[in-house]
Amino acid sequence: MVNVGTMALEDGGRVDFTRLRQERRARVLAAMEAEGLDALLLGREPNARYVSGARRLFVAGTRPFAPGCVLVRSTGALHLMSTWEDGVPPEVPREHLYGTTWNPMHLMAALGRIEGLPEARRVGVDGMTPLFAQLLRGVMPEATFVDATPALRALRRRKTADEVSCIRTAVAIAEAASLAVADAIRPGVRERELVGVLEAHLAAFGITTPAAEGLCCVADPVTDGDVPRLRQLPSDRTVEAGDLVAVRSGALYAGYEGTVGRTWPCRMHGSEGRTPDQRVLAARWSAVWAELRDACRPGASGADLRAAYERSGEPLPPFPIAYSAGLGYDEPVAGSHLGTAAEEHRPLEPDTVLVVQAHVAGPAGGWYGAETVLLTAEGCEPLTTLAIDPSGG
Amino acid sequence: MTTARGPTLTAEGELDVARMRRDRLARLQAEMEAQGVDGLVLSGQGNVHYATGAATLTSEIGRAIHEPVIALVTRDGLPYLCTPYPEGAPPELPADHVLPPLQPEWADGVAEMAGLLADLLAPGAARLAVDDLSAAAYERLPALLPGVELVDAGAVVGPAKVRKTDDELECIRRAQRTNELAMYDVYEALRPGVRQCDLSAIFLRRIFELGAHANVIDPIWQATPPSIAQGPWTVHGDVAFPTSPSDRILRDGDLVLVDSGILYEGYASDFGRTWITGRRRAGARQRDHFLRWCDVIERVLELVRPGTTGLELNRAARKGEPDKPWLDHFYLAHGIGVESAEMPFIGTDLGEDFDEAIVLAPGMVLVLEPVIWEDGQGGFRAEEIVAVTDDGYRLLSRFPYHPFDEGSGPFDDGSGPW
Repeated sequence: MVNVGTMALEDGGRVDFTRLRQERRARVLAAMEAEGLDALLLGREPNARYVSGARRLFVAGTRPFAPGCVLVRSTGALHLMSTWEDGVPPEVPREHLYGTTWNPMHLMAALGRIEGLPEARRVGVDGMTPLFAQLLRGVMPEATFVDATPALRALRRRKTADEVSCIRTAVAIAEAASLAVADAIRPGVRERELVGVLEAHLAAFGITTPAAEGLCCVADPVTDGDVPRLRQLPSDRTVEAGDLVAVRSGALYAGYEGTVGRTWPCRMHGSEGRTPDQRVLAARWSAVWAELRDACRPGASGADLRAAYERSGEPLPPFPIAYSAGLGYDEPVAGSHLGTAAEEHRPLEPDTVLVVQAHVAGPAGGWYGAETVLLTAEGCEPLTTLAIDPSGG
Repeated sequence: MTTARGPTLTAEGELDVARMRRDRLARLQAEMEAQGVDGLVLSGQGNVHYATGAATLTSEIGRAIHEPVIALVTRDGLPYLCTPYPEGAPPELPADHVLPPLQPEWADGVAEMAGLLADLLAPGAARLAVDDLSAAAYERLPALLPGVELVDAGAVVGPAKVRKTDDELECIRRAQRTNELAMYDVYEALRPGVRQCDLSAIFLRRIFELGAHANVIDPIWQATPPSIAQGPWTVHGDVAFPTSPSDRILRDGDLVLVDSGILYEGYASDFGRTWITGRRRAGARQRDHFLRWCDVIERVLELVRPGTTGLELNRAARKGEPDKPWLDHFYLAHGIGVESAEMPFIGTDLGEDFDEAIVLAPGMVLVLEPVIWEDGQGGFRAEEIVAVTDDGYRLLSRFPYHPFDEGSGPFDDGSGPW
């Protein structure tokens, strides 16, 4: 069991990041061999981070594709778009860095100088823009560009021991931030203020990068027959006494995501924990979780998780009920908008980490929760240790 | 989602977000018409916001890719929004324009997207502009949409975005004001021994108290040694900036380059200042760097009005300076809006012809970020945001230059707003 914390220990008693990077890169090179890929041109940050281990400034959300990370199979060499060596792992030599540029022709010239790249025939990419599709043909006239994401997904799905250690650390930090939010819930607080509390608490652990901003939202009641909805976007809404507040706290430690979701009643200071109605909701949520937990075992698929959810008698929420977590959000595994056919092709394999989430609602409000679990050879191990209903007393 | 709420900021200007959305869509569709583009498929969060006004969850990129918010814009009518966050859809979108999320990272998701496009595009549509393609879409979309040419959306979205409406300017001003107000608290905490992440914690908590809608970049508190050789090696020999924050402990006298960006109603702020840990007065050399920086800003601002070219600003900034007074990998100025850096860019490695083609017009916004560097002695970097008006400019940023100005800053003659 990893000694969970963020300080460096002089005996190296925490995550061995050198080994972590070596194991990831060895997997990638083996996959390139198996897929017949001469080079990888990667633009999506999690893929680039998986391959390179570069610690880059966090910028939220999507960015258009640009080839920021290049791995050439013939040389085994990694080349990175980085104007400086800060954040670049020591095994990447300075001469393999190319600077950020606003001029795509300068970028193409830099790619053209990478040993072995202009000759590459089969090149895996993880995104494209019409402009780059045109320009890259000039640098690599013989190349065919193919979708490398299925191969990368398969690699990233199964975690090494060091990756799991990073995720355990992230979960511990996410749990701490979740409790800080719970302490800040009081009549009159705005949802977005709670997001501020969450992020400030993550930063106190040295984590200035949340996995996602929010969800710190009042879980509204539904009347019988309605599909339970849960707002995921925090707003300026004021939390009132009696509200149930759904909180999803996600931290990234060394890029790896740990997430915990809990629901907290807003109540008068010193009052009793939950109302009888809230207790019923928590019990319904626990019943869904028990079904899901039993279904989290190797050999099953995303479709089995959906079936487990449905067995509980609760309607599926309008968001994925499980996604694979690693360097952020790996891939959705089961949920309402995927469809059963796709879910059958989402295998649950040992060493996969899943974030499993459920939501139930009634006239008293909604009850949301999320757990991070590690799939083992026999079943699953919850990485979340925070009590399911810490406010229950 | 109809109106911007949140705590009242000082000197609040008028903001009508419904009018802002109408104006933006009209500009986008006029640009599509002008360029013969029949449809737009937008997945960049800034672009989606520009086209629809939809709110999205701020997150790391993996979540943004796998639970994507995608906008489809046709030549006329309201846009279509494929979103996991229906609560973020603007109220004018009818129910049949708010659709479940697409999954373009997967082959079957691309097929579904192609089917939707075939339904929504006018018969005979020939040109589809996209801002980004998943690898799966790049491989499969052309075959699924025979006869449709895929072109870069930047050519449509860029010109539409470059001139801001008054509502957009007000959003940028509010974003900047919120960012600046939070920085007063951070500045108070800048004492020897504080960690970079401690400053981040103060900043993040405060922006949300003040009504920010999101934080979009790790706030930067870069301790910068006085000579380049003492800092991280760089490919071009210039100063490394911005490097990632950590739990680094800031020490007495550290020169701290600060940079941050938040969102208000989808619009970005861009805060840049130089601070000195533990010091409330700058040294004589440091003050000299600051005064040179002020001279650059004043020379540039003197020319900011409609009709001035980017190249004229570039030359004015360089006048009398031994080297170009900005970082080699960046620019003298960039635009800001739904992206923290967008057109126009001035002083980049795109070259002088590119700068010359930029002609200032009312509604354009410039973030000026000159840098003065004297190797061995450190330097000064700060950012100011100006909007081009009919006959000049107005400042959208206003934050003191402590500890460099010592009460005698360049705008203390009353020419500045503070």
